[in-house]
Amino acid sequence: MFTTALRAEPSADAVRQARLDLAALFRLGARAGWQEGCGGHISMVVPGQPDRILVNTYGRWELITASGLAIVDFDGNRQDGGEGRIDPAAFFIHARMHRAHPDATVVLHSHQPYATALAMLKDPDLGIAYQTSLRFYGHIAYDSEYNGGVLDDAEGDRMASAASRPITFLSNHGIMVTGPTVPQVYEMTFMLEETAKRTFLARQMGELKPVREEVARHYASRFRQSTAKTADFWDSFLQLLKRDEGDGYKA
Amino acid sequence: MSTVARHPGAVDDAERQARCELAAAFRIADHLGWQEGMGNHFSMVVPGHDNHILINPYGLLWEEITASDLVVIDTDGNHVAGERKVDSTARWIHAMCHKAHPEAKVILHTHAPWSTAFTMAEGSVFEFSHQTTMRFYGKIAYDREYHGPGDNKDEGARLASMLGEGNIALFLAAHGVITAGPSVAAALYSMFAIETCCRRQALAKQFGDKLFQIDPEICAAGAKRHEGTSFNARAFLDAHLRRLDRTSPDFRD
Repeated sequence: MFTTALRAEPSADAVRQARLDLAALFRLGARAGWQEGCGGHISMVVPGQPDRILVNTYGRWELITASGLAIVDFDGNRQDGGEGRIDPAAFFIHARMHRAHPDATVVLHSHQPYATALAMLKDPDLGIAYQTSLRFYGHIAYDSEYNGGVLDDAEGDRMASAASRPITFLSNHGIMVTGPTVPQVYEMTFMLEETAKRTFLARQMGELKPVREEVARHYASRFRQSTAKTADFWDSFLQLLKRDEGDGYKA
Repeated sequence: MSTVARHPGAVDDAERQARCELAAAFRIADHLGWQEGMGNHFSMVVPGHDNHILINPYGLLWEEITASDLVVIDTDGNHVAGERKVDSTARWIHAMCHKAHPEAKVILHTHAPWSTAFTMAEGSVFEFSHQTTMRFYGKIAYDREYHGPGDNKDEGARLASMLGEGNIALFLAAHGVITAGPSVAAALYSMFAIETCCRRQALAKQFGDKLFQIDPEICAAGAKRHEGTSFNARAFLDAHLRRLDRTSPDFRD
């Protein structure tokens, strides 16, 4: 065959794996306490289909299954799978984010408690007062504008242009984390919440004492963990999920 | 050094007992919410092998660690036994601390939330304002400047020297805390007490008044009473061992 497809034919296995990874991420996020009510959404570019995304329908993260995730294109047309309705905010945030940031395969948006509390402050600066926060050095954007929900393309585009780094604090709202793989986004979001929690506690004790700039810079790239370490991190938590919940997320 | 030649895989009864207690310490620390992600490490001198230490390999959550998962390194940082690899920070912090402080048979390092937050705030001082604090009187050290995670021999040695002689806890600026003790029970209870005291101090300070300071002589007597492995430290570990034997006995595997 010498035909050149305009769009690479997606491999069924790759799409199935993406559904499994994303469903597991929702369940692990639920275990970590990141979901507020039925809100929050995580999306992932469908392998081989750069203009379509997998995203959750409205509901509790701990009930999400691989086949329950919806596929939608950037114009909002439902393509495949999924039960229930897609929250309009989920569509307008994630479709515009993926359109603006093609490298961000996975986009997570949550109202997780400690990071969101920081996003409510006039000065949401996470600071560089903690070893674990050094990995975020230079990787955080702050969107200081809040205009109500994200209910149209224009607000989605505005937010996407403010979200110029892997982590964004959204004023009066929550956080956005983007990355090339599900394990990377899981680890980054997990460590962000751990850091925000310790920052919150430390601020009750006094002023943050910053790490010296050159030390922070030196270790920033080192702490953006190796792929192997991130894989270990993901595998361990995935095993916990399977131990406690079985294979329910694979349905 | 009382070290005798060791051949890989040889585990005597004393080492088996040590492995079980250290594995239990990880499970207990997880139960109490001290693990951040999959980081941090505990170590223990192998009974009868003063320059060999048991330590957790990277890649296991504390709640899944079993006695046989622990690996052995020596106090110069060399791998001795065990299949998995040790993180460089685990290797150098623990090897250097044990080398410098042979009386400390057990060294624990965590990023437990309240004590870690304490190390992030400018000029934090541990105050002796509550009964539980007294065991630390004259036995606490501070490293006031962050130099890195302790991923090399020099930084490990520097942290070991900051721990100092006879101290049982070291606050690491912008990083976390180390406790040291003659047994798993002692070092674990120190970690529990440090976390509890940091939390209680932060809560008390929110009332806005100065904290009551316990008389130094009473503090000194309290510290003396809790030297070594105190009765309550042993009882704390034993109670948690009974809980683990009921709920997750696989830690002994």
